[in-house]
Amino acid sequence: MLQRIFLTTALFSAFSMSQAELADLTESELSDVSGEGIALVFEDFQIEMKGEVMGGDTGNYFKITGIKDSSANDVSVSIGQYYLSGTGSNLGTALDGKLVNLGRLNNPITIDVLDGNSLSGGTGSWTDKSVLAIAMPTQVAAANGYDCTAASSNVGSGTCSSRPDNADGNGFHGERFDMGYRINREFTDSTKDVNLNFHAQSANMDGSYLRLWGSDSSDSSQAMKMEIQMNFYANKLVFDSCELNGVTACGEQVGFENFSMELALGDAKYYQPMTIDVTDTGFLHIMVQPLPAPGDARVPKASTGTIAADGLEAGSDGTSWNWYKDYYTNGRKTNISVSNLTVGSESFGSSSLQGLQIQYLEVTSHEI
Amino acid sequence: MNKNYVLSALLLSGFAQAELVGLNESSLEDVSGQTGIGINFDKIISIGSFTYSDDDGPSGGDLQFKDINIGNPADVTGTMAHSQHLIDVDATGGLFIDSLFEATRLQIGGISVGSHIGSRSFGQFIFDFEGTNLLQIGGATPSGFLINSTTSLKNADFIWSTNGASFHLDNLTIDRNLTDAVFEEKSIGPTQTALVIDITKYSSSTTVDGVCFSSADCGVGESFGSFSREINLINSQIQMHGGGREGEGLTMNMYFEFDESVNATGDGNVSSYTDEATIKLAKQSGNVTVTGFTFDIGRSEALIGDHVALQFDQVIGSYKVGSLEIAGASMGAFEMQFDFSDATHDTVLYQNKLLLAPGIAFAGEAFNTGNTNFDAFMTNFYSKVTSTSDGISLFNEWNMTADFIYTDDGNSLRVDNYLTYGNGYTTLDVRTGDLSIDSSNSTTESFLAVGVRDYKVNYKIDGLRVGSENSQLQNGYELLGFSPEAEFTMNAAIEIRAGGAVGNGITFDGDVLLSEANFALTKSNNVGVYLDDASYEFHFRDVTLDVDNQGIKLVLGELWSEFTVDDVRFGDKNSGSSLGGLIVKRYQTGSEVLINAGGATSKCMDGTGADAAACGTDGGYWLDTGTEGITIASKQILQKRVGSKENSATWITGRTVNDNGTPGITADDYYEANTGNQLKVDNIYTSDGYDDTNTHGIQTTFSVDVAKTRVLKKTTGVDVNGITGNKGDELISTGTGVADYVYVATPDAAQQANRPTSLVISSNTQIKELNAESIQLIHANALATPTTLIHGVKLQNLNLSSTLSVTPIR
Amino acid sequence: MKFKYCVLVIMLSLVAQLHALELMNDEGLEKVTGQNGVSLSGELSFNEDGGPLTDTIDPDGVGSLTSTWGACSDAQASRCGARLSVKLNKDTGSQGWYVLDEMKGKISFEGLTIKSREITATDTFGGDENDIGSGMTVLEIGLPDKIKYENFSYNVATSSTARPTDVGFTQQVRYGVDFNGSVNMQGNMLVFPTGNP
Repeated sequence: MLQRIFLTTALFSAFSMSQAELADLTESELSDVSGEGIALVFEDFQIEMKGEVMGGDTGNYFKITGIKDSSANDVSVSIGQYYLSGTGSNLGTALDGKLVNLGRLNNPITIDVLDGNSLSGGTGSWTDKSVLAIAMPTQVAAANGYDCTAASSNVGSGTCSSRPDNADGNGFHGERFDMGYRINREFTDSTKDVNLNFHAQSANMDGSYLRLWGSDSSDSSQAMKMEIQMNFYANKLVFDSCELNGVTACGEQVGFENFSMELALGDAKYYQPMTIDVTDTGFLHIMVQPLPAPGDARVPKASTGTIAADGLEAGSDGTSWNWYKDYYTNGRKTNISVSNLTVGSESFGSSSLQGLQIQYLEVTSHEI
Repeated sequence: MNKNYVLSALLLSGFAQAELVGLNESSLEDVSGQTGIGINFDKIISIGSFTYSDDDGPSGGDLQFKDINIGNPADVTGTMAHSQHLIDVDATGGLFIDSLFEATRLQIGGISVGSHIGSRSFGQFIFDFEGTNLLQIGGATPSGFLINSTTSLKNADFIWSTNGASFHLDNLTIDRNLTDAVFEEKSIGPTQTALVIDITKYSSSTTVDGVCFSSADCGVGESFGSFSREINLINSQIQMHGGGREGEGLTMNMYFEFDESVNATGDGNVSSYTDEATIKLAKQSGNVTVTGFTFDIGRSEALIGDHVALQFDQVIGSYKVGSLEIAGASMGAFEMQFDFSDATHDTVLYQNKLLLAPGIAFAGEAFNTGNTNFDAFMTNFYSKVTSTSDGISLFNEWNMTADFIYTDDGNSLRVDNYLTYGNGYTTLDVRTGDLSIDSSNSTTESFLAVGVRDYKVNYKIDGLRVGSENSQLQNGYELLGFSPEAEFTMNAAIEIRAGGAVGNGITFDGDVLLSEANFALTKSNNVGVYLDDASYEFHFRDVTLDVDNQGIKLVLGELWSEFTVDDVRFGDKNSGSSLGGLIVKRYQTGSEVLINAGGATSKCMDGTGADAAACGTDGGYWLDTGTEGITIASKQILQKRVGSKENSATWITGRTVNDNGTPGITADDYYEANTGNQLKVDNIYTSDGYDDTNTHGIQTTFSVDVAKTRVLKKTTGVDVNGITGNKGDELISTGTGVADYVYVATPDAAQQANRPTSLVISSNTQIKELNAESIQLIHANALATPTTLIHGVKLQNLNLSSTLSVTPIR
Repeated sequence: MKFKYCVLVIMLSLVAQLHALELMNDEGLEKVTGQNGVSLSGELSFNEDGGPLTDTIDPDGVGSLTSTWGACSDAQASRCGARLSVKLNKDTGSQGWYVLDEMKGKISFEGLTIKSREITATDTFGGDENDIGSGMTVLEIGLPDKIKYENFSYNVATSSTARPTDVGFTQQVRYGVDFNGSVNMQGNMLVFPTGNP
């Protein structure tokens, strides 16, 4: 499922800073926006693809292939329906006239080449580097923004610039979208086929970005480096499973109300880029580079750059120690929260994951 | 012996002069009896100089022809040229001069103007000819002279030489017939009388066997090819009177009209160029009215000095080529409706004039275009000649509005409201091969050197109209590859040689700079996307043009260029918001372009079917592109980087602006060098897919047709022209006006025949392998060490076909 | 010249009536006052029966190829689509390629429009049209009504070498895409520069 979100977000490709760091970074963000770059806004937008199985035109199918089951038979994921539209689409069944704008004229989706020195205060991996940045609309000061997950709100209620439907009573459909997938997993033995549906209501991705930068022969690694902020806010996420036509005999709906995900991958300021590459033998390799060890040339130091064995400031190089402290305190972190988890009519209450910091990650694919 | 004879009969080929006509039996029949005077004229004539002067004190000057010799081509000063003339009175009482010329040469040692006389010359001119001329002068009713004349010249040659090198029109044949022309002095205005020549009918047929850069006969493979022209005029008129634009001089008004009746069978009025195959502009028609054409000697032009000044107040008319054929296949018809008149743009007056001065105005000068790399090429080009070298320096200025109409199988595409104006300098001279800017060229092959300096060009079009002149205005030129609005200053040094890749043809070498440029990519109303502060420097070596059975073939030798844009602007062309800057560099060798007639093949769109019936049954529609159309096939071989020549594309953004000391004024602001961030796709090259051999390149076939296509309504409701319909309905034309159509849900066969006419662009691109060595991000503080984002991109085995119909937004 | 004035009159009278017509959607309003621009319809076909690589050249001569290019209708050929490979790293051991492989099929569309557009106070962006000031020019790309895919497919894979004919070629397919049918859409994509000019 995350792959689906990734695909969609890759389609719009933008991420931004987590809320805790908003105050600092908004200012530095603003100074970069004064550079020239490409802006995109989708106006009165809606898209739908519908396979024949779910009521689309005869002969329609949209398959994701390449997966095999344990007996090496092909399994395909067939997208019975994918839609992205304005709010009020009733889980993709009432799309007529439900249009959405993605990006605002004064806060659009952007593609730009930024000066790394003006990002992260001129320190870290971005010093004297140009950074290709693809970003969704940025978050704004609380006085000018809207609550990120509420289905309706007025200005001053939050930090998201994308507006819900009829914000401030302006009669405009706003920039929050409904999006959903109705997917059938198809096996060679079709009696095993299953349907799984995922919907997001009144969603936005404000503050998300993808930043890419390169390396030259003096860098320790020449992989393409990334820092990703993937934010996904929705008034409600809905999961269910139905007949293969996606709408009848549906089971209980699982709902995540006021869903907020701010995923931070890679941290350029602290020399922890995320990298993707392919090995010499053709396997995919994804990494969040490890934090530099004490004594590494990149870590600022007063003299020796060592950290005491007990980790306290007293026996350590003060400058280095403060640098690591800064990383743990202010380094990029992931937050995920839900205000209410529901199954059918039952409510299970809220839950949240705050302050997850990825200090090292390595993923390699391999043959089964 | 210096005698000043008026030798207009031989020098000027105008209608007013006694022309050379065939001596034939039937004309002799009208001669009454055997009376009359026969004259044999054996001549060697030499004239030191002949000067025309319109110097009246405040304006004007001298035009001098010097060292004039008339004699036998074998030895113009030593052997006689023979001609015989019969002068008689015919049955109607008119005068009758029948002439026969044996091989005769007219040679002019130099032509110069004003203060250039004695130091600079247009060059040496030789005209050899033999042939016959019949001139009949009678009385016209009610008044004037009635002139009939027939001229037939053959084995004629024209040679222009400068500085020891020659340009040669070899073996011309000229046949002309003037029928019932009336010459009369009469009033053409309240205070003006003129010599008025009314021409009932005029026909002319000219062929040139070869054009080359040698004083000897053109050899095989050394010539541009052969040319011919047949033209028939009717109902035409010329008025001439004294007084030029300034003081003394000559003023003419003219009206010419093509005789269209000859186009009914065969090629009619036709011009053609033949190499291995022929390009033919056949079935020409149209008319032109010239008002206020003046001839003066002018003084002290800023860069070229004293000059011959030709100018006209207005030239208005239309010109149509009924069929443009390449290698036997027709591209369609081309028509131009034009108006050259004076106009003012941005407080500057633009007129239509041509000023000609002898010598090469910029010889030996150092150039400063602002682009030091390019300046070296121009300075080198002009270092090959001196201030006393022969040649032609010219200044021309123009202002024209026009509509261009292309018709493909009866369907027309109009380029609407084309406006162009500008002015600039050009120098022309013929040089010997050792003076070439490309040392790999043969030192024994002479060439035409064309230098262009500060040529300021402006043009724009409103858009395209498909179908008729009342059709809705649309874009689409973006896909045809031309900009709808541009201005630039051109400087160039170009060498043109005779001989192509195979046999005859044309070979080019050159260096061109377009600077201070602004090109529109697309525009609607008055806003658009513009490439501002652009500069395009391109160089080409050994580019050959041939015409063979496949069409017009250009082999592009070696090309390298750099195109920089300071700002990509959205909005106003000079002040719109900027997206950043672009730098595109190109480097190709061995690329080719083939242009031929005939567009795409007809096919089924939105369905499958081998013909219209099967296609319709499958829910598609049959796109019938006919037999005419334009097809351009190209092969671009992109080379790996060599020195500074490379294929790359860079986007630069975030540069520091310097307000140039004027904080409130942005017009003079500039971007500081070495600032900003760059994204660069570097070292792009092609290959054949398995290793580094590189012969396939990017092969594209691009066709343009105008044909009927299916156009569906995009949304339910009222459209831009007020016509109502539902989403998915088909647009069916009911007339030629912009709103003459209806929307029909399922049109029947009769309605399907009235589908709208659209521009249809078909293309096929094939790439075996296209590589980019890297994609880089370059920071201003680390220009010498670009960081690599992607370490290689390889595209293989692409075969992309597309067929697009390009219609207005309704 | 005359017809232009007729069109102008028609358009002006239409604009006057528009405020009363609730059925008129935003797109229609914007179109009526617009001029020029271009609407494109047509089809793009990728490697319908293969591409220009059809040889079974063995460039290094070491023996049989695991991958041969050819026509799609040729049973002997193992591949016929287009291939795009990208190399993300230059470190030792990580010189593999990320690949979009075997792309072929047909895409057709109706009514993709392109024109330059000035944002004015009559546009509807929920108030943003007033904030950004007048005269902002965007390139408006009107999305086609539908994009129809016909047997359009490609694979995303990771490969040890860029060319399938290179020595040591081995590849894993991550996933594939196989689309046939229409995707419906509406709206415009507006492209413009950010920040200050």
